[in-house]
Amino acid sequence: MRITVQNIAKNFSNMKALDSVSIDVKSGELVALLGPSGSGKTTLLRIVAGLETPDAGTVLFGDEDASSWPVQKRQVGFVFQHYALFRHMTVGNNIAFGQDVRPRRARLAKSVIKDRVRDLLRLVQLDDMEARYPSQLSGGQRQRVALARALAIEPRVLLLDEPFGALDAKVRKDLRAWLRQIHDETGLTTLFVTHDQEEALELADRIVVMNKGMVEQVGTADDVFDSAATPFVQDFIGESNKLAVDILRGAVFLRGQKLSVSAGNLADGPAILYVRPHHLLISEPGALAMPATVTGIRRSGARYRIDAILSNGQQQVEIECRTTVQVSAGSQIHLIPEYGRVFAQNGLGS
Amino acid sequence: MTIGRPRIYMKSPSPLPGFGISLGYTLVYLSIIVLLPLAAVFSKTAAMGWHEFVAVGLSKRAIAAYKLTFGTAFVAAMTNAAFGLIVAWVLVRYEFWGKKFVDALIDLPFALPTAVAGIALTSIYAANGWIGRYLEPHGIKVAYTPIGISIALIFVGLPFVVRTVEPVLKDLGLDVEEAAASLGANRFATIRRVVLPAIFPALTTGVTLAFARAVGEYGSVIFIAGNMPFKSEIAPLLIIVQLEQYNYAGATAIATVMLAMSFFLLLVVNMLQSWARHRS
Repeated sequence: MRITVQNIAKNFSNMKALDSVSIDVKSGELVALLGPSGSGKTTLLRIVAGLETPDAGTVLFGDEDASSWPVQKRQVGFVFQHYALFRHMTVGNNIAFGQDVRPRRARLAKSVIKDRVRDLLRLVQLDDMEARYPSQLSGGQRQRVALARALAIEPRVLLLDEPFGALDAKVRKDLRAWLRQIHDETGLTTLFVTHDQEEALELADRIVVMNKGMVEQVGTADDVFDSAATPFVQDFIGESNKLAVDILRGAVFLRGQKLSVSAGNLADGPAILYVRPHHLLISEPGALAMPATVTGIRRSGARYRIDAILSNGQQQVEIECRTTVQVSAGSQIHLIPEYGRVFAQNGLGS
Repeated sequence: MTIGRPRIYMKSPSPLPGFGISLGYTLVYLSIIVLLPLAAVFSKTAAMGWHEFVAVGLSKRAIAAYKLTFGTAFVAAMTNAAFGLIVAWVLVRYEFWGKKFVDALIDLPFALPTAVAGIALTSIYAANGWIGRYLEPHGIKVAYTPIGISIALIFVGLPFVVRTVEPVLKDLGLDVEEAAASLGANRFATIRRVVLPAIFPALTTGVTLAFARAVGEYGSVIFIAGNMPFKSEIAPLLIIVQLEQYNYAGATAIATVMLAMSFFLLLVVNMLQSWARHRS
């Protein structure tokens, strides 16, 4: 089902949580709401679910205005960060809950519910856990039960609030792949909140980057990573070296030295150049190469991370390169920014 | 909830030592503080003959007193179960002006000398008291009747329910209720199927404590009860009456019957609780 959010605004006492936010989630799409804490992403998700009422704006489910529907009527599968399982019920009863509380007329027969629970347990790979209690499961298993419970009501959309936030790194990674698989199998429109950019980049069809109650950018992982729309997105997603530069007739200058990146049609004046560590290449001396002095080298997985200080202007940079590079602390190197994004001080990008 | 069999590692050395000494301490302490006085009650009673025991401990007057004591205690405990739960709910779930004050009020029945509570309640509910004067014309007599006794017992029992339910309710978290709502449960179903089962063990503990306290309550009741034999005379008062007549054996006979009944009731409640735990 397609979800459309139009001009949603929400204030908490005197804090603006959401400021006229509009997004559009296509049917069957997997969309991430990504942003730092306090960006309003969870509030937006809760408004879609009906767990929070917006001050203004509308939420459409398909073509229907769902704004005034209570949460019970919206039929959304909501997965909470801390699972929110019913502790006094077995795994099986937790999953069956959504069916059990239906009015008698709409309820499925007991045997049908039982079969449904079995199927869902198989789907979440917890086949023999039906009679266990939540306290007897690990964190990852609990979250899978929570997902099965949400799927049991045959939801129109699946909403997940930091679903893997409370889990450790390894489990998180497994569950991520597995969620993608479940999404592909069920074809459910899915909206999930995360502050983990890696999770968003890897999992989502599209990412909504939020900051201070507003949408900064909506796009694919490639869009937000390589073509950030705003300095915030560039800064928030991935790592970037920030260099103070000047623009003159479309060219970028670092303390008078021309660089190999272009400023597009940005106006002349001071600007900021964002270069990712792996886009800084160590090269031969040349007119476009920035001389620098190495201050430290760290091993980071399969790569080296080199700290250096640019000779022009003494700015700190970090370089990521292959381990075949022969440098040591104190070496003189030359750097060419292979790719970078330039933002003028008013936030306009190249 | 994990329900494992209690394991006692008596012999294997533990990284957290102290089992031996703490168990020893517990047993000695319980013996001196609880078991010894109770044993004294029983031995004193045993000194009197069976006929004597029945004559005093199971006299018509005593049986009326037991009925009154346990009956009013039960009514008070059930009333506290309902209203104490609501008070705890409000204190946990809502922020309002003066909440700290209300919170402190809850503990007052713990701290107040019970006689003071009894005198205060009597003056309010007496025929010319603040509330009593409005009830009297409608034919409702509170002071010097079982209703008055129940009110005094509700007063002393309230904090037990509120204070035992509060932490569990706080721990329950809003997201569980939201989860129930998102799964289609209306408010009533959410309370009945999610909230109440989760706090049931704590609620029974609180109600049991309130009940136990009410059965043994003396100070606050004697002023408002009127103490008419067969009508508003509670069992603890009957014990005092026996003591005032220097009939120590008679007093312990009544005490023994009360003890036996209380112990039986607490045992039933405990079994009920563990049954509920296993079932859930």
